[in-house]
Amino acid sequence: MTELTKVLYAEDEADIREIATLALETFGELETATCESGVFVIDLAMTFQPQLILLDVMMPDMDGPTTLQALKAHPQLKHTPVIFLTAKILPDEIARFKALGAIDVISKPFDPMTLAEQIKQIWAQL
Amino acid sequence: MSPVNGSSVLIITSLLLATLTLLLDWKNNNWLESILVLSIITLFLYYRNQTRANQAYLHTLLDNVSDAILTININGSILSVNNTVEEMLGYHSNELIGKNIKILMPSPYKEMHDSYLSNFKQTGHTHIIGKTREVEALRKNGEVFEVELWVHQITYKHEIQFMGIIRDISERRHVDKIKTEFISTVSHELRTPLTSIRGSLGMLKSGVLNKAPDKANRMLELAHNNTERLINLVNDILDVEKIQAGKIELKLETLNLIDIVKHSIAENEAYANTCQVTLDLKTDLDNFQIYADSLRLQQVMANLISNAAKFSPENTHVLIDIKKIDQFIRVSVIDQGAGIPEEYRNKIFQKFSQIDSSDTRQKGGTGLGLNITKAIIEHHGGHIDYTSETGKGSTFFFELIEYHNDKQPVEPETTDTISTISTKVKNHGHILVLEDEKDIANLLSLLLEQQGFNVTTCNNSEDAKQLLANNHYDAITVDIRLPGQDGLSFIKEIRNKEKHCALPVIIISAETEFNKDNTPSALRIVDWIDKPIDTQRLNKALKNALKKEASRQTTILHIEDNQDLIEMMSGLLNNKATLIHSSNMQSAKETIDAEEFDLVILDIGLPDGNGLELIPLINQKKPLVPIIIFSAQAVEKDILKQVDAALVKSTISNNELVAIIKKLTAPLGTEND
Repeated sequence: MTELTKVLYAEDEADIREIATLALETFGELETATCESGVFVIDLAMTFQPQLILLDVMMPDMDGPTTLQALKAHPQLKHTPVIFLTAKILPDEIARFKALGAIDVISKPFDPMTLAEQIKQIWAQL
Repeated sequence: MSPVNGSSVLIITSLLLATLTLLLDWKNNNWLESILVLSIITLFLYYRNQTRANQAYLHTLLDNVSDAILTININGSILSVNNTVEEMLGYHSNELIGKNIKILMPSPYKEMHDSYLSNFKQTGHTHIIGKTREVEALRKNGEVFEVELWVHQITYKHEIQFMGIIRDISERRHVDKIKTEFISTVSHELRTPLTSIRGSLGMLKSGVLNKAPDKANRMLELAHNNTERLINLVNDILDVEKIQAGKIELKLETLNLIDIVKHSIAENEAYANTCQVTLDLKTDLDNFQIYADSLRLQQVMANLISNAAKFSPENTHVLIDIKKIDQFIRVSVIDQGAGIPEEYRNKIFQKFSQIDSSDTRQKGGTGLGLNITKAIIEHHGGHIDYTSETGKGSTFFFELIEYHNDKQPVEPETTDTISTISTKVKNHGHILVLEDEKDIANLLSLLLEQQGFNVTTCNNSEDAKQLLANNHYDAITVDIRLPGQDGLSFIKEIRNKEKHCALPVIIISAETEFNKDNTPSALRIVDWIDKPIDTQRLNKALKNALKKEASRQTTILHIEDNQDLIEMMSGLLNNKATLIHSSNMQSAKETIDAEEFDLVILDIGLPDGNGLELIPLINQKKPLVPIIIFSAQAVEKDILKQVDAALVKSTISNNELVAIIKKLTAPLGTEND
C-alpha cells in the first residue's frame, strides 16, 4: 500500500474545515483540498486526484451520502475510498453510512492531534 | 365477552326437581320437608342471581380494559371479543365472531398464522405462546398499526382455545420516533460547535502553534465563537423545556418598544455582516409603550433578524418596519430570501421541525428559535405570524398591545394579595382574576382592563371566596394550578353556593395533564384558555358570557322533523325556555355552528340523515352542551355513553320529560356532579 499523502475533505462548516485542514497538514503532513458541499466533490477530485475522500454528512445542496453514491457511480472515482467525518453517530446512522459503501465513520468532535493518524490507520488496513 | 354459562343448565334442572318434590310433599302434608325444599329453592335462586351478577361484573371488567382481548379456536375462528376489540379494530363484534383471525392481520403475519396453527396441531407446541411480541394489526378501514400481542393457551370445556391480548402501541412508537429524531438533531447540533472548540483547543494544546501567534489567535477566536454558539443552543433547549412545562418567567416592566428594536438591530448587525446583509429600520414612531420583558423581547428580535439574515441572498437588505395599528404595534422583519413554500405553513412555528431536516438542509439550527419566539410573544398577550412569497421573500411580524401609563398595573412588589385596578375606560363588567403567578395576573389585568373591564386580582382560593362573598363580579378567571385548593375543586365549591351558581367561569391553564373534555359539564366552564393566553379568545369568551348572563333564559335546540312533536315541545316548555327548531340535518348543522344553546333535544330519524351524526358536532361546542336523544327507538350502548339521556318517544310522560330537561338545564351547582 502506498503512503497516504493527498486527501479531499468536503465540509460546510467553515470553522471545522479550517481546523481539520490545519490538523491534517500539521500532524499528518497530508496535502488537503477542501470544498463546502458535495456538489463540488467530483470536479475537485478529478483535478486534485486525492487518494482518499473525507465527507461530512449534513451539507447544503448535496449531502454526504448522495455524494458517496455519485462517487460510486463515477468510472474514475468509484474506487476512491470514502470516510464519513460526522456528528450523526447514532448506531442506526453509522450502519446506514457503512451500508452505502463508506469504508469507515469518524465521529465529531474529533481529536485534531490524532485525526490524521486515525485516517492513516484506516488507509493501512485497506 | 359472552362465554356460555354451563352451570345454568344444572341449576334449572335441580330447580324443576325441587319444585316437583315440593308439590308432592305439600299434597302429603309433609310440612317440615316442604320448608326444607323451599330453602333449597331459595338457595338455588340466590346462587343463580349471584352467578349472573358475577358474570355481568366480569363482562364489565373485560369490556373496560384498555387492551383488546379475544379468543379463537384451534382453526383460527374468532369465538369472543371484548368492547376494546371493536374500538381498536373498527369492527362490530358481529362482523368478527366466526371469522378467521387473519381478518385482523396484514401481510406477512396473515400468511404466517396458518402455519403456527398447523404446527400446533401436529406437535402440540408453538413458540409464540406466552410471549409478548410486537406485530402489526389491520383495522377495518385498511389502516395498519403496531401492536403488542400476547397469546395464551386456554382449555374451555375440553376444547383448546387461544386468548390474544392486543395493546395498541402506535402512539408510543410515534413518540419514540420523534424522540429519536430530536436526539439525533440535538446531538448533531451540539457536536458541531464542540468539534470546532475541541479542534482549535487541541491544536493550541499540542504546542505546534507556539511559534505561529497568528494561527494560535485564530484558533482561540474559533473556540470562543463556538462556545457562544453552544451556550445559545443550550439556552434554546432549556427555553423549550420551560415553555413546555409552562414555567417561562417574564420580568414585566414598562418599556419603549422602539428603543428595544433599535438596540436589537445594533446587537445583530455584526451577525448580519457575516451574512453580507444590511439591516434597515423604518418607522415614524419615537416612543411606543408596552408592558413587557426587555430581555425576552430582545431574544425575539435577535431570532427574527438572524433568521432573516441567514436566509437572505448576499448583498441584500433586511427591513425592520414598526407600525401602529389601532392600539397595537406591529413589528415586521422583511427579507428578500427564497420565501417559505405554503405547505410548510403548519410546521413553521412547531418545535424541532425545520422545513428541511434532511442531510442536505441549507442552514444549521435546531428548529427551536421560532417556537420559542412564538411562545414569548404569546406570553406577552401578543400575536405572531408571517407572510411569504416564493422567490421574493418572507415577512415575519408580531403585534403587541399598547400600554397606557395612566393606568398603573399591580406593582409586583406589593404585599397585598388583593388588588383592584381602577380604570377610566368604559366599564364592561367587573372581573375577578384568580391567579397565583404575579406576572400572569398583572398581564391579565392589563389585557382585561384595556378591553374595558374592571379587574380585581387575588392569588389564592380563600381570598377569592371572601371577595365573592362580599362583592359582585360579572365573571371570574381561574388558574387551574393554585397553592392549596386547586382551581377545579374551587369551582365545584362555589357552584354549590346559590349566589355563584351561574357566575361565568373561564379557566386559564398551562396544564396539559387535565383532560378538558372530561371536565364535568355541570361546572359549566365558559371557556378553557391555555397559557400562553390568546387575548382575542379571552375577550370574546368574557363578552359572550356577560351578554348571555344579561339576558339569561335557557335556550334549547330542538332537532325534530315531526310537526306535532315540535308543537308539543313548544307547549310543554312555554315560558320555561327559548326553543330553536331544526327539522333536518342541514339546518341543524348550520344552527349548531351559529347559535349558542344550553341543551339539545335530538331526534335520530331525520329526512336527510341520521341525527346521531350530529353528536360529534354538538360535542365540539364550548362549554359542553348536554344532549337528550328523543327518538322512536332505543339507542345502542356506545351511543348512550356520548349523551346525557336517551328517551324513547311514547314510553315517557310529559312530566318526566320536563323533569329531565329541567335537571339538565338547572342553575349550576344545584346538581351533584
